[in-house]
Amino acid sequence: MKVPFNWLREYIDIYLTPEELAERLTMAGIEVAELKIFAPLSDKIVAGKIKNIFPHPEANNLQVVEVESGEGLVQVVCGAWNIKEGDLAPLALPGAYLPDGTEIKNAEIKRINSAGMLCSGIELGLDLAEEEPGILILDEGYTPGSSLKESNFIHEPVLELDLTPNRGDCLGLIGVAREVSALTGEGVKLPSSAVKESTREIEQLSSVEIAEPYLCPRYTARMLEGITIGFSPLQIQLKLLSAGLRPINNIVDVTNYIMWETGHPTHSFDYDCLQGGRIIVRRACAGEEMLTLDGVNRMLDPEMLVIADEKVPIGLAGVMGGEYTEITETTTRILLEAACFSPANIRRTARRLNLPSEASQRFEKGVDTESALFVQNRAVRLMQELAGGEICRGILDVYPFPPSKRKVELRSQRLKEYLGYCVTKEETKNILHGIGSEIDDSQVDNTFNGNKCTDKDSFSFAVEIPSYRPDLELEVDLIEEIARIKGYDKIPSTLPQGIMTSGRPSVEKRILARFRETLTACGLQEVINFSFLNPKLFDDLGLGNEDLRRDAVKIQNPLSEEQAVLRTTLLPSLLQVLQYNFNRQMHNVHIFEIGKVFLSALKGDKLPREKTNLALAVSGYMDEHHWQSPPQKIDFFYLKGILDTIMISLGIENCMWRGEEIPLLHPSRGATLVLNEKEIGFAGQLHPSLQEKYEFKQVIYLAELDLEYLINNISLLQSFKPLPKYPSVLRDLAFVVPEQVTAAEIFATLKKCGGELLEDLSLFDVYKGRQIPESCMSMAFALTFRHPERTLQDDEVDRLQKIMENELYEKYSAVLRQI
Amino acid sequence: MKESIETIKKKFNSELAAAYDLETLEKVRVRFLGKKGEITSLMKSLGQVTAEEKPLLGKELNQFKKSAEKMLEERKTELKSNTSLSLWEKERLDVTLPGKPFKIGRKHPLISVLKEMEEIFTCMGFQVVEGPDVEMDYYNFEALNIPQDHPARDMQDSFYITPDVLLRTHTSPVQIRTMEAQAPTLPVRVIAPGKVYRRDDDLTHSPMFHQVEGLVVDKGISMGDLKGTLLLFAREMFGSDREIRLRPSYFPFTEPSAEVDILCIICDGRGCRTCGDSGWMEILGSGMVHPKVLRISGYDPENVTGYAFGMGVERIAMLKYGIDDIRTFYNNDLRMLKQHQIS
Repeated sequence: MKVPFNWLREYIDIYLTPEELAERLTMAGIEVAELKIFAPLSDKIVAGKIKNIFPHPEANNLQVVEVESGEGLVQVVCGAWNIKEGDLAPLALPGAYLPDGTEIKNAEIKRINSAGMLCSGIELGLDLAEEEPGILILDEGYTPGSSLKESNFIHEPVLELDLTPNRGDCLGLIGVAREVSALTGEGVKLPSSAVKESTREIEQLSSVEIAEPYLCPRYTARMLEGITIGFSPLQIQLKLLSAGLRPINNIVDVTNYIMWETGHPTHSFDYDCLQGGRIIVRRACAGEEMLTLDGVNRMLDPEMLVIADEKVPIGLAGVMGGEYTEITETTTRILLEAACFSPANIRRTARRLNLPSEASQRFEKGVDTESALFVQNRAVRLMQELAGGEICRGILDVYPFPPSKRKVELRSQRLKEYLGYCVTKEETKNILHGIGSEIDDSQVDNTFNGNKCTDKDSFSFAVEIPSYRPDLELEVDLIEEIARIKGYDKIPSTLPQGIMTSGRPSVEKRILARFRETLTACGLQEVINFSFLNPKLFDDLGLGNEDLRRDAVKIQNPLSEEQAVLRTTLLPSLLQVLQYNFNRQMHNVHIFEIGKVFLSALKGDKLPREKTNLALAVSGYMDEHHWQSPPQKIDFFYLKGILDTIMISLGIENCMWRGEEIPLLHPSRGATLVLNEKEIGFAGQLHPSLQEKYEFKQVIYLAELDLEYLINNISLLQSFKPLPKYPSVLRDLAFVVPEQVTAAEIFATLKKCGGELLEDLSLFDVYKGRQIPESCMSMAFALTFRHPERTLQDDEVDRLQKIMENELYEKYSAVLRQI
Repeated sequence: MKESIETIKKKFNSELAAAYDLETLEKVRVRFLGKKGEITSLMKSLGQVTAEEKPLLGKELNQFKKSAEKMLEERKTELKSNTSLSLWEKERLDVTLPGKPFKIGRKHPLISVLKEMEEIFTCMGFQVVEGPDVEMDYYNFEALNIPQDHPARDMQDSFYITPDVLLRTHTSPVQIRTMEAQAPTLPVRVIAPGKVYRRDDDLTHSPMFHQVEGLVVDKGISMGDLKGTLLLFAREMFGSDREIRLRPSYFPFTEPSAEVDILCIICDGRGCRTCGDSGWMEILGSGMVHPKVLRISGYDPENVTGYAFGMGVERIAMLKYGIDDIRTFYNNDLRMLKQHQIS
């Protein structure tokens, strides 16, 4: 909502600068988003009075004009012909700048000196409605030599309000003036709505019927006869322009003017185009069509409310008029509508037809039904002023259910409770009066004496709400009014009192934090991706038709196909991050993401299942390049090491890696991670064909874990074992093992045979080649044996070693290698 | 015996004087003081001397042994420092060569900011709770006093899954879920961080972003408590002298409602481009929980009051880190992420 400062001042005295006013309004909740100057002009553009006009001696299309500039006569050459002696027009003197940046200089035009320029509206940046383009003729009000900058509505400060949806009342200047009044205490000056009616009764010409009283709680109409359509006076046009409205003709301009003034949209119909002379407010019939003012033929449906004559719709109620009853140059009789419509219905229609307008915006926020007659009278009064004619006697006013006065109770103890400080009875009364309320305080509440407010200050008011403030419904709404008019800066800073509460994060949060700590300590960078995916990626990744990850939750109205479904896996986004960074010469990429994935709702549930996953991807070198040692390339076991470290950080020792073929992964370099017989994720090398598809020039290792099971099954409790008292016995054993045997099998056997006495077991070498038979490998283990209560003897360890040798031989034909 | 001592003394002195390196010195030590060394042998042969000679000879021999040990030690120190100096000179390093770079991962900057925010509020006794990203229309709108045709839905263009299921447009539904679960127990004191979604995509809007919601419900909670809590938060987050101001605003689920600004962290209120010359930066929306919201969630608004607030994590992160394009957080450009201090 644009508020021209000087226009606003027609309704209230303001002793603040526009900047100060903007600050006051903003701090009271009427946010001034911007304070701009409309039609900014430089100083040297003045009102000039045309004294003499001579033909140009050298050019037929030019004239030489002598203009009184306030400081003597100035001679200018002019190419426009709409001027005559005695006219006032804008004169740009040398040194002046036009809004488009042109500097006016002394010039010689065809050997005649020109010491300035007479300006058109366009040259001053004003898009006026006028007969033909030419020099802007100013009205009588301007004195020759006065800077145009000083006159109202040129170089006009305009406050652009960014209103919250509850303050539809400030979509009119009178509403804004009321707000200013509440803040400054100055009274609102309502403009005159007195009208002089003719003897012709409106009832003889027209009638109004509301078929849908819930969609149209009030409809009023007035009529004017014998009007002359023309352009509005300059001042009116400038006012409209400064408010961002385009002048068109006097009648349309008045409807816009009144809307800006009162916040109440009106609409004028050419009465002579009205069939039967009647107005019927009804729902559109199925299949009905209407040509709207913007020249578009609209299909209507019964959800839409229309204004119709006896036969056809002539306007979309509250949204846009129809072309068929449009005001034209030949219109002489008009019927003016000032009505109220259901906000929800207007909103739906405006949305459906994609026709947001200044009018629909106001109806959507609710227009004051009580102001309709004032609006009518203001409008016809102004129309008569600008377009002549006679106002018919009487107003057609259909108002089936006038609302009763609304009263809201306000209790001092609630006020204090909400605000945290006391407001006196007097002050509360003043503020409530300031916003236009009436107060009934006959019932003083003396029962309350609970806190610091003294008894004489405790009160209970029945507050009568003005009709233009539908947003004030409850006691808390009044409390907000008091708080904001007094200023939120009056609110003290305190802290909640009461029972202590523990603010510890949940176990899940703490486990996720531990994942983050471990992964960052392993050198991985955290990323965050959108929760959306392009479903095409499921094909790109070659997921099978039965793959559960294809069963993604669809978004009905995505911004693009890229974001059409909710992600069921984090990996596609990670691959995109890899691609993004590879393309920017970042080749060592070690990343992870912890985030939700979404699986289709279970039967009977409305909401999808949400699970927290962890995904990671590593590619490139293990370390940064350093002059001492060349960095090593990342391989499968680097990835595995990271995941092992995570498990260690959670105290998990029994996570199994089951090598198998997994979608997305290299067929022989992937594993399912199994914990307590539950699959918790997978890890491995990106499938070579996918690597090719993504045009990755380097190998990628990735993993994705479902954290749900981990979160629910691990304990953050931990206890330390006492340090050993007795020495350990160390043995290094190497076995020659057939290739098809897995490390896990050997580990399991050694552990089983070692029993409690085997304290630690690690693989320190894997070797193939010389001295080792074909299709076999050597695996060398370091074993630590210890007895908790005594020193272990060598022969005891020898016995265990023998058992291990035998078992490995029997099970896997593995043979101890003599080192 | 006495002669032997004198001879050995002389011999020892001359050999010690001739030992110019540690190796020779060690040989000298072994020759005289080793297990079969000459001094050691002499001491062993003390048993063969007469009883009257014994104390005197023993004393002399002991003194000699001690002084020999001392001389050896002194000589050793002397030799050591000489050899070390030359050896160490050979070991000289160029200390300006680059160190071994340790690869360190970082949290995402948004996670760091979230963590900081959570820390501030948990220290004030707020519990951290969460809600689903995909939410019922009821929790996202209806229960928050935003009925079907309410103008506030203008502000929220949402991603819908079905007509009554959508991606939550704010973290406020967690308010309702928390109160429903806890009512009528008091107090409620929670924050709810999480992802939220709106159909917007430009320099300052991302279709997905993060919010932190706060909710306190108890007997006698006032706007003063809201202001005090947020002042404390702003000072923890942006510095101990940071001022805040509350401006009246409108949210359907709070009344009275307030936007909260902090004194511009770039210009300290003098006015700059970042704060649009106002000297203030908007950081969050807040207010007193609307009585209808309390009632629908199981609390009697005549008996309890509450406050709620919600803030955009990206917005706070952008202010804190001087980032002006919200998409920076979701490009995951390592060159950007690696600038983040390790935290």
